[in-house]
Amino acid sequence: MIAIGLEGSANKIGVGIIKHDEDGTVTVLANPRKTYITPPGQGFLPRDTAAHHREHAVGLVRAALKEAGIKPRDVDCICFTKGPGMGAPLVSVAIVARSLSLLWNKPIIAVNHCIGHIEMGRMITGAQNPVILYVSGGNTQVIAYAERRYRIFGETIDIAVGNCLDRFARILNLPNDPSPGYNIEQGAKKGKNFIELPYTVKGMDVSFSGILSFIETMAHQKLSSGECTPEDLCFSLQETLFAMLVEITERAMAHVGSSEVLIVGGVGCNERLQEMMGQMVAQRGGHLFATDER
Amino acid sequence: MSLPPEAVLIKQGAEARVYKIPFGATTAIVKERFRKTYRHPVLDEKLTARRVIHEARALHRLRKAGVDTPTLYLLDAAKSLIYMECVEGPTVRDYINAGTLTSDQETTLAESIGKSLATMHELDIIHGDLTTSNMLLREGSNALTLIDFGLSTVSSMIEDKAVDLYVLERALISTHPNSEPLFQLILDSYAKHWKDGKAVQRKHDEVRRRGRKRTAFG
Amino acid sequence: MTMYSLPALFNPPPADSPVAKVPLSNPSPPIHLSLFRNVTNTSEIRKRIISGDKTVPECALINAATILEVFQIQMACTKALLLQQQNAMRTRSLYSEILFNLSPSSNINDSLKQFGVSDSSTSLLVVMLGPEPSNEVKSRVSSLIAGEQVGLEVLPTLTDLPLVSKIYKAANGPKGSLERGQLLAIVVGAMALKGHT
Repeated sequence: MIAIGLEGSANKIGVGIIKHDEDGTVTVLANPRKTYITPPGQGFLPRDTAAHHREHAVGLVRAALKEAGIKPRDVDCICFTKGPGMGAPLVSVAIVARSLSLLWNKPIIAVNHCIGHIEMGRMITGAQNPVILYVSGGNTQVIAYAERRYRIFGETIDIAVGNCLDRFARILNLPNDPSPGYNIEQGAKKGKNFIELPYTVKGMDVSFSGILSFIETMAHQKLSSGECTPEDLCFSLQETLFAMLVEITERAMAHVGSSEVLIVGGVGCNERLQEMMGQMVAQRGGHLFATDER
Repeated sequence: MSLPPEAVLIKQGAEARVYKIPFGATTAIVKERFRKTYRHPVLDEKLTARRVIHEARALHRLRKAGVDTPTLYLLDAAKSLIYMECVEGPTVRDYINAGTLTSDQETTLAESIGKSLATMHELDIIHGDLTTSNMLLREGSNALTLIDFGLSTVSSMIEDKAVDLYVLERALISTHPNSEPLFQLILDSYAKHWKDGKAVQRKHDEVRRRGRKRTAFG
Repeated sequence: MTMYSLPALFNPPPADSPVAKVPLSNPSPPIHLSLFRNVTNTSEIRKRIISGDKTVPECALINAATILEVFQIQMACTKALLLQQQNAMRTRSLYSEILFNLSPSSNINDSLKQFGVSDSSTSLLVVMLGPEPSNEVKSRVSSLIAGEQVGLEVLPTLTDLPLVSKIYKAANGPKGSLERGQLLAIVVGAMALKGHT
C-alpha cells in the first residue's frame, strides 16, 4: 500500500510518500519539506504561514511524486493532519488534500498530529511499547499506551518546550534560520557557566513559563553587566529544560514499567536532549529511540 | 554486639535507596536520594538537596498535625540523606492479605486511612504514591502510619487530591481482590473528615470515569 | 557521669555501585551527662562563663527544663558533629553548636539563652563529648554547680512540658496537650529541619 501524507500544522509544510509491504516492511519513498522562515525576533503568524503553505503545496506534491517515482494512480490513500495545530495553515493543507482526493478519486484519511508523530517514530525505529516524549513547538507530553489507548501521563501545564525555546531565541535575537532551536543548540555548545533557572516539575507534569519570565527579566541585565554570555544562557536553558523532560519521562517509565523511550517532535532532534535521555535510559538498562524530523 | 555495625539496603527505587541502620540504642531508616548523572552537577545538587528537605518537611508537618509518620531524626543535605525512625509493624498490605480481617476491623482500618488522608490533604500535601505498602500499622499503638513521601508535592488543587485518591484506589484493587467496598469505606471516612472532602470525592468520581490522566487525542 | 553512645553517621556508596551492606566505618564519640537539680547559683555560673573563667570545664550546660529525653541531646550532638565535619557550624564551638541545635529558632543569641544557663534555671544538664572525663574535670563540674546531683532517670520529672510545647509550637495538638512521645517526635523533627529552608 502506498500512502501520501500532507502535514502543515505549523510553519513547515511537508509531503511524504510511504510504502507498506505485505511483510510489514515500511519504506519512505519521498519526504520533501519547506519551512516558512521569519526574520530574527519575529514569530510566524497564522495568515502568513497559510499563504506560504498554499504557495508551496502543489510544488511539493509534484516533487514528492517525482522523487518516489510513482504516478497518482499508484497512490492508495491520501492522509492529512486534522490537528491540533494552527488553524489557518491546517485549513490550507486540508483543502489541498481534499482536492487531490476528488481529483484522483482516492480515499482521504484525517490523522491526529500527535498520533502521526508517534506511529511514524515507532515505524522508523522499531520501538515496541515505548514511553513517548513528544516535544515540539506546540506540544510537550509524555505518553504511553495503556488500557488500549494512548494516554498522557505528563505534560506541560503552560507553554510547550519548543515555544519556550523559540521565545527565548527571540529575546536574545537569535536568527530563525534554519530554526531557533538549532541556533540555541549551537550556542549551548559554547556555553560554560551554568546559571540557575526555575526548575518546575510536579509529579509527571512540567511548567516552563517561569523560566521564560525569569530570562525575560534577567537576560539583558546579566548580559550587559558581562555576568554571562548569550552562549551561557543557551547552555543553561537547555540543561534545565531537558533535565525536566528526562525526569518526567523516567517517572512515567517507572510508572508503566517500560524500558523503552521514543522521542518524537521537532525538539527531539536536539542532540543534547538525546544524549541526556540516553544516559537515563542506559542506567535503567533500556533503549532510546529518536527520529530526526528536521 | 561482636558484629560490626552496618547499613542494610532494603529498597532500591528509581530516585532513592533506603537503608536500615543501627542508630545508637535504636534502629533508623536512612533514605538516600542519589545523583542523576544526566543532569548538570550544579543543577543536580541544588535539586536533590531541595527535594530531600521537601520530603523531610512533609514528614514533619504531618506528624505535627497528628498524622502518624516516621519521626524525622536528622537531615544530611550535603549527602542527600534523611535519617528517620524505623517504624515497626505490618504494612496495611500484609494486614489485609492475612485474610483474617473481621468486618469491624475493616471498618476501623478504613476509618483511620480516610482520616489520615483527609488531614494530609487539608495540609495541601499530595502523597503521590499511595499504596497499601506505603501504610504501616505501628506496633503497640496500631496507629496508621504513612511512609515514603518521595514523590509528594504541595498543591491546593482538588484535582490533585482526587488523583491521589484514585492512585490509591487502583493500587488497592490491583493488590487486593474484592476491595471495592473497603475503598468505599475509606472514601466515606475521608469525605466526612474535612471541609473539602465531599468536593474531592465528587472530583474523584470524574477522575475514575476518565482514568488517571486524560485519554490522549480525543 | 553517665555515658551514652551517639549513632554512627552513614556514608552512602557511589550511585553506580549499589551494595546490599555498607559498613558504618566512622563511629561517633560517646557523650557523658550529669544532671543537677535545685541549682542555686545559676547567675554566678553564667557570669563565670561570660568572663571566660578557665576553671569552667569545656562542656555544654543545658537548662534541663527544656529537655524531654536524652535522645533529644543525642540528636543535637549528632547534628553538631555532622555540621562540624562539613564545616557548616553556625556557632563558634561544638558545645555552643549543641545548644543551638536544640532550638527550633535560627537566632543564635535567643537559642543559647533559652537552652543554656539562665538566671531562672533551677536544673542543669552537663554534656561532654569524647572519652570519659578525668576525675579532675568531674570535680571541677561539681564545684561549679551548687545543686543536687541526680541520676539521669530523674530527667523526665524536671521537664517543663508547657515550656517545651511553647518553644516548639506544638501546643495546638489535635487534643490540646500532646503525649510525651508525640511531643518528642515533633521536637526532634523540628531540630532536624532547622537551618534547611
